[in-house]
Amino acid sequence: MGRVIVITSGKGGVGKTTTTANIGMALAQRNRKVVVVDADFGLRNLDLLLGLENRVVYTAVDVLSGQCRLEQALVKDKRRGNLVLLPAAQNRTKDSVNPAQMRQLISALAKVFDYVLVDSPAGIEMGFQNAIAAATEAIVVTTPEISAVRDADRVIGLLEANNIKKSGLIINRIRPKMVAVNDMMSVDDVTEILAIPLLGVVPDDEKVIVSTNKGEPLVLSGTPTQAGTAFENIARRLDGEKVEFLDLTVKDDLLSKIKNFFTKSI
Amino acid sequence: MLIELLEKIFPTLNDRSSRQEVKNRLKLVLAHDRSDLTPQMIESMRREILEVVSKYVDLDADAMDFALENTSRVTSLVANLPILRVKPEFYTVKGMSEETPVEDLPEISIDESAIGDLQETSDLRNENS
Repeated sequence: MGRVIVITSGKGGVGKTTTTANIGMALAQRNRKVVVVDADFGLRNLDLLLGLENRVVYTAVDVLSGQCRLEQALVKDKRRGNLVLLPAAQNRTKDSVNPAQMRQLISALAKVFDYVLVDSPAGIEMGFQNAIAAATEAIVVTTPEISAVRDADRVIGLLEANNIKKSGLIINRIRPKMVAVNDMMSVDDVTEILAIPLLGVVPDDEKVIVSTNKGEPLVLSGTPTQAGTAFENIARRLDGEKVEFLDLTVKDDLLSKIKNFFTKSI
Repeated sequence: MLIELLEKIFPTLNDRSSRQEVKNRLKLVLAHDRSDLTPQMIESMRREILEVVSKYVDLDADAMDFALENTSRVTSLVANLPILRVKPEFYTVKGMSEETPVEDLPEISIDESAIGDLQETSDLRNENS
């Protein structure tokens, strides 16, 4: 049986789908058999981030309604054959699927794949309930902002209430320079508040937007990027390896502080 | 100006940083989110606790502090109720206001010739033991 991991956050726009795409791809690069499941019915995006949007024919809803077999709906990645996508329906709402159906679908996938990564929609309503229905583990994505942390906290409470005991935290879009001048919460600040084990830290990186534009997850690009390395490290940790966290502290010499003072006061 | 400069150079000195502010705001809001207590429940809890405590002591109403706190996902109710004084009816040591009049005191006298005797007997007892 493969591991079923839901990627969730509560708040929208913190990087759930980017995280799913990159971790999925990074695990595939480690020769694991991976399926990424888009559970965001009605607002699917995972196909775009993986660059697979033109190859989607059937969706999870078609499988559930018996219009196609499960293997027909799975889209195989051409770059990495051991990564497949189960797309969500775009012309349905989140209420068109229920948790029992999701459990059925996911347990069939878990028999074949090493990892089933479920990309949860934002919010804590039906779509979220569907996404977590079959999961035994969770990855909670947040950013160092007050609203994202508050929503993550709410989601962590709901995961515990739904008996998902194993949760890891990813802090996305951290800006070390802002942390250094006390204008952003640090990794320690956020982990202390949320009090679940830290799985990874991803620095704010413009390359993420470039990779989304191309439909090519960062971990695939030949040139190493900060965020890409961070996602690779997360995949390795998930896979049981012990990997040090990236050192994101800004070298804080007096000169830069003085410079900072003058640029700030203008 | 100088303080401002120092704060810019040593940001940790500056407690009014937006980072500290957001942490404080988050901790407060999460303590409430996690506890599932409505503000009305907290307010009536506060009132009832104060009522009970006020039966025994006078409290400093201005310095009182009553808040939910949260560490490692455990919510606790932290109340700081500074006591001005214990209510008089609960004094364990009674004040001097109820002093017994002198004339009611039993007379105390002393037998000068017997002073030595007591001393000697106690000395003897010490030697025997």
